Amino acid sequence: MPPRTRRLRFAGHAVTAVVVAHDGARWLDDLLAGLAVQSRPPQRVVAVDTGSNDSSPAVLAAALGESAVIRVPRDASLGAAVQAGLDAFGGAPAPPGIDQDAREWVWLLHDDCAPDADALERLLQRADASGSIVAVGPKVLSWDRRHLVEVGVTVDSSGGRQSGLEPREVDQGQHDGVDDVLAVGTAGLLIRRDVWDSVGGLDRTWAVHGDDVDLGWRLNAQGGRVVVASDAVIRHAAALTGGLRSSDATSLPRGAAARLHGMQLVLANTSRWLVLPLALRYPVESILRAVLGVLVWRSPARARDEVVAIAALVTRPHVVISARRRRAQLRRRPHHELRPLLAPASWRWRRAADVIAGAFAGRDALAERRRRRAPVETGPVADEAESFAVDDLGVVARFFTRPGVVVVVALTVLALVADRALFGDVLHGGRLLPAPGGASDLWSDYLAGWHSVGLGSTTPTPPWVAVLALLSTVLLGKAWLAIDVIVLGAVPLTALTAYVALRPAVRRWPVRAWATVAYAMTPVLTGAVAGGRLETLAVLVLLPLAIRASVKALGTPATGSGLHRCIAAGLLLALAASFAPIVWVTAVGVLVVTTFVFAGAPLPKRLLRASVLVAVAPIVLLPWTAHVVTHPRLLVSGIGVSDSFAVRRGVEPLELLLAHPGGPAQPPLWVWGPIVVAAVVAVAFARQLARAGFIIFAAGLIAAVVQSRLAAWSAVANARYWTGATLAVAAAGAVLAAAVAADELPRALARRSFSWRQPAAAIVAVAAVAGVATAAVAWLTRGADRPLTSASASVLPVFAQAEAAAPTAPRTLVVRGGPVLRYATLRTAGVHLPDADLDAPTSRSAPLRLSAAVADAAVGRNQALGELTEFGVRLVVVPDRADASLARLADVDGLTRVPATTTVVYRSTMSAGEVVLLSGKDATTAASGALLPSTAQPVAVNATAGHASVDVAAAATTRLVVLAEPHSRAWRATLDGHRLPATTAYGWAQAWRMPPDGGHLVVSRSEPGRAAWLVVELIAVVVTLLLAVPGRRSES
Amino acid sequence: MSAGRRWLAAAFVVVIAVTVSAALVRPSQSVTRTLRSTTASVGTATFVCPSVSGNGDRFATDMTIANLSRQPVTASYTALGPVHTPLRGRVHPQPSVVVHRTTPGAAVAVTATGPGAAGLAVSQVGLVPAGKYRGSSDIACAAATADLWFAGADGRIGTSDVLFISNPGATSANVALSLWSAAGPVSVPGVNSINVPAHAYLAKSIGDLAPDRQWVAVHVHANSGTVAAAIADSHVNGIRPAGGDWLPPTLAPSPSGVVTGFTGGARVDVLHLANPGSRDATVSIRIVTTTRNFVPAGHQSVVVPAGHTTSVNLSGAIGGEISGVAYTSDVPVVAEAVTVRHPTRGFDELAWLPSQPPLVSPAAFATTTPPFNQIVRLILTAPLGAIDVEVRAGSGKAVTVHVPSQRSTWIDLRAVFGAGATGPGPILLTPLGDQPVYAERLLYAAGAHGPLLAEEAATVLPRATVLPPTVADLRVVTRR
Repeated sequence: MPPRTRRLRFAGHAVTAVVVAHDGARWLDDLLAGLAVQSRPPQRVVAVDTGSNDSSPAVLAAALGESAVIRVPRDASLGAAVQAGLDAFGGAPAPPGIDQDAREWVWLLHDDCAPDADALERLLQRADASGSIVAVGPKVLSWDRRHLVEVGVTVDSSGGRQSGLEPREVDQGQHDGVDDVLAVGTAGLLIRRDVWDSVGGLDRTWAVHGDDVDLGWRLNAQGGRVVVASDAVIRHAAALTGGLRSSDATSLPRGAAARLHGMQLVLANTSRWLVLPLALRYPVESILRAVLGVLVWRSPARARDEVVAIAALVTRPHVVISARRRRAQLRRRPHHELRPLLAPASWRWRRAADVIAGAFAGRDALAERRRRRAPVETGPVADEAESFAVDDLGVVARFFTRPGVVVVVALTVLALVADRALFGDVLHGGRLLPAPGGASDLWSDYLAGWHSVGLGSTTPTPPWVAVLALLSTVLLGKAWLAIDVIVLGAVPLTALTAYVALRPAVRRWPVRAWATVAYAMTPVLTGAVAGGRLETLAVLVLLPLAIRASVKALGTPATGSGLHRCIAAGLLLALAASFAPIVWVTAVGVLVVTTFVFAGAPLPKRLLRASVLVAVAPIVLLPWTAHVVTHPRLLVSGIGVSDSFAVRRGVEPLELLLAHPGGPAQPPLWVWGPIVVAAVVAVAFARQLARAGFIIFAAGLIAAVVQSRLAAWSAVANARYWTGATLAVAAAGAVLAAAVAADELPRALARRSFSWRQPAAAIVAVAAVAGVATAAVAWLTRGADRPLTSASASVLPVFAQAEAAAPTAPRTLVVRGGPVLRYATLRTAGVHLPDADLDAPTSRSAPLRLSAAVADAAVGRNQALGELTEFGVRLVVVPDRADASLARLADVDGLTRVPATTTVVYRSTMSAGEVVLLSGKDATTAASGALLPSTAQPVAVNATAGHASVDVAAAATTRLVVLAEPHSRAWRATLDGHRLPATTAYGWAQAWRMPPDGGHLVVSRSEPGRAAWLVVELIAVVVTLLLAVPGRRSES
Repeated sequence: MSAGRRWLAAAFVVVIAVTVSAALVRPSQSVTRTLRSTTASVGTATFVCPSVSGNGDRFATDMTIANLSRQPVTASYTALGPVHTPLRGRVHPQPSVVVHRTTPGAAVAVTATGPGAAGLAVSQVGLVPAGKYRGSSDIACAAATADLWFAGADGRIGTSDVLFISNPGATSANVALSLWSAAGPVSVPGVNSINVPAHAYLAKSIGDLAPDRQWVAVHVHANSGTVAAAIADSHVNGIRPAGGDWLPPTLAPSPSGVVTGFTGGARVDVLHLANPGSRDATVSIRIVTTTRNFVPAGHQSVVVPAGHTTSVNLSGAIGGEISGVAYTSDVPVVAEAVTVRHPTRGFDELAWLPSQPPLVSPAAFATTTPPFNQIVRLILTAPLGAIDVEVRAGSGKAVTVHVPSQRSTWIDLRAVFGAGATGPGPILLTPLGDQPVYAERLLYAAGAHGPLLAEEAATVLPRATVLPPTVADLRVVTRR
């Protein structure tokens, strides 16, 4: 195209348009057409083809002339290509029609862009306005002109390219007026030639990705201004970004190149004070992104890109170093002046939130998030939309005016008032033991194969400990806070999950709100809080989500397997079952019935989905699953210390029917009646979901009846298994059925003429509301405590707590009198969660021996002293000072009463601890299996629970090293590295024969099985999580 | 029928079926884990005699070790502390063995091991025939325990009361003493932590602990270990002997009790009461004689101020009848009685009578040999209802004694069993009913220098220890 000769507008500016083509023939016609009709045409046009395989060179040559087409290698970067085009005009005379001293500009055009007719004129107009402007970019629209692509670009601290636009944001002029920016895209970029030359053009280090941002950053740092002329518009197909073609300018994968270049250009251009922090941050960030790429996005390619990028960054530091060196010479403005041009952190977090929302809440949630951020569509709207004032409220106001939020906040206030007596020390009481020191204690308990509880235990730690540990970790390691959240926050948490779960099922928010309050005020919940029943509370919170997920998983159309939904629902069920495994059994019953009763997908597919759903829990809960199978009592026994819930004749059938499991904090019996009535009647007219709700109710009820009729093992006379978890299932089902029925009731009644049905429905509705209100008032009046309390937990005097921490690790026997003596041996200053669930003796003889020792001590038999020493007991504590039934403890020779104010404490005069040395006759007696005589002289050595590492002096004879733990082959002892021959002391304790020589004694335990199981469990959980996440879908 | 109606019908059927099933299926009674007490047979029995000692012709002690079981037993005895001449040995009582000590000795621990230990009874009887401490003393040797109570000791001049505390255990014991008198609690420095070494005994003078205090009550509490204790009580009126006896441990503070063994004849009978509590006690007394029971005139109720002791002279009320005294109090009190003979010629003599728990299991007297082969009697009191008591001699001969309701009774053991001068030997008492009954054995001799009187409460034979049921329960560790 020959240069024009007529006088042009902006004659003081000479423009050289450089078109770079790379397999872009399909867009070139539009580009060339746009170029041809420019109201202010460029003075020179040169095309650079980077080895296109299509007809691009021919098209360009046909339009511009063969001489105006430069050919460069296919792997040439954009910068190199542009420079080649510019170099083609080296030494050329000034084009006609412009001033002699005209300022030279370079207009970069991609082959996949098309400028509007006035694009260049608008760009020049903007450039002409200020002498400090060195680069001007257009407003870039999508190829179909419907969406904004760019109005300037910037970069965040992670190196991510940021446009500040919502994806697929419609252009309504909302971004017009954007002025100074960090950079503009190279498609349509107008840059001063002298500046281009001074900064060296596009840095070829970052070919394809990041070179435009880097150029803009350098221009700004040099003191120039980079602005956007939003009235200059070009269309851009973004073929490379959209994956419509590939680039040969870099050997890295596209994602990896973008990530690497982003990090490198930030490190190259940012303040020198930020280089080191960012260099340290990037590897961590990349690893996290890689993990999330796999877990959240299920995109191994994304993870690979992260790994490749960070590897390249770390292994090629010289790239950044040399780049910084080059930029240091040109930098004129300090970094802080450029900071406003960089992307704020909020953009990055918003994007992360979008990712999470898209991954976990689905595309609808993501679209909803973006819709809220997008500008309101202009134009005429419906009247009702105009009067919908909520949209005019702020985010906070809008949030707090939602019915669900109102309900949850109201119930939070209610719970705070009801919990008024529980804000003090650590929570305990009922079945709940005090929380341990921190999350690390819970993790230790979960990971350990042997537990130093009671007489030592190898029972697998229940998986709820890991759940609790995870929650505690999230809460900054505070285990007590996790317990408080679950127990004190049970009502609002339950309400929250119930409301969320009911949202798709119940359209009318008043019904939803009522159902939420009804579920949160169920007698099961109030009883569970008062009784410190952690498992029931967890089930109550999780159940609505599990039911919703299950309904969604099993109720999806026949198309697609939907297995990821089944697995997700199975995971929620597993979470609930980890606290109360009977929930899983109940769920199996529900799924069997619903699979065969409800039509939908073909039966084989329904069976498959149901099977997958129920299979998840046993798999991810390994190895505990096997433990439950061999100890079926765990299905029904619940969490915590032995149940004190006692009723001679079992819970009455009517109580079970009305979701009253018995025990403390139960509202009047009738309050749940209307809900049960509604749940039963609902099956007659309501949707299938109501019938599913009834099936859940019936399954829970049947399970509760069975559970309540089982013979319970407990130290409490007439103890019964508490049916909280099963009745929670029943309550959830009843609420679901009743809520769906109430939702549909107006429409169902409207179809019928007035009869008895309408008054009956009104009566049930009023009664249901009154029942829930009564339950709430009753709970509020009574308070949430008793037996749950926040009073000081330990019964040990301070000196006894200190003595428990002695270096020989002695134990404390705590005894309470009564018709049955109840006792516990403490290895520390007190018991904590989850000690009660780990305290399963590995030996049969040891508990019997300890029990005999306690009985002997209680009646004052002298042999008790030796018996207690066998178990490492040094202190005997009677918490109740007035307990006369234990007065004869004083008769035991060798038990010295220690002055204490509120308790009775005896200290053994015999040396006792975790590891003792016996010699002479004592050793012979102990090895023979006989009781340790009260005249024995054991020597306790420094040790911790199950472990000792101590120097032992030589002695005259062979000694017996006795560990106060039941005999097991897992124990081992070495003296100066040589294993000692194992034997048994007292007939139950682990012991070793030690030669007279002294040396370094080490006692330890090897428990490799637990670690292997944990690895299996971890793999199962990770795989299940991966399978539960829906596959990534393209937004286009 | 529409689908909705079918669903409704099915729902009703399910609900009713489940409810009815729940009503029909009740948990079995075995749901409660039955925890029962167990018994541990007596494997070892140890008794402590407070002082087995003598001094040639002037003073001798007979320690009688009796085996009232049907099985042979070997008992060993050893002195608790150094002695000049050996005081240890191994015997096979069948039915009894007497260790006669005429040289200075010490407290003695008698231990029997094996099944026969359940029939072991030991007592010591001392005789000072003449001199300043003339008198006869008698005490049942007892097992060590953590708490022992005494009432009626005296810290005044003219009385020599010595508290013997013995520790037969293998580890040292630590005891604390508490004393009360008619003037109130006695503050004694240095008695809250007295160490009694293993296999040793120590003696503390009441006169030193509570000088010039009368009616002194003593509580011996073992802070650690167990001890046995008794008070040697001797009275001297100027240079004239006024009798002596062992003041044995009595029943721990209790709202009721019975002291039996008051004998006929000219004498003074005094009931000592101590109230170690913090509230004043009002004590009601009823005398149970062989012919009647009544509230003594002038002593309908006796007020014992908190922390004080008092004494009630019942001489006039008892009136020379063999009897027992039953008392009740609104707050726990300690009671012990003394019966003093005032012969018209010769020296006074006395005997201490402890308050006892009722006999609910076999009890025994190790010896029934009267001083100078004179009188040995068994006194029984049934304060509430009639009861028969089987009395079996070591020879195997047995008689059944009927104790009328709210009466006391007595038998002459020599006569009943047709025994010779040394008496019928050890006797075993077995209550044959549920009513409470109390027993005391009297040894008596009338001599030219006055009477010799000694009494002893029945020793409850070691019983199989009832071991309470136990269960491990972590709930005990947290506050309730």
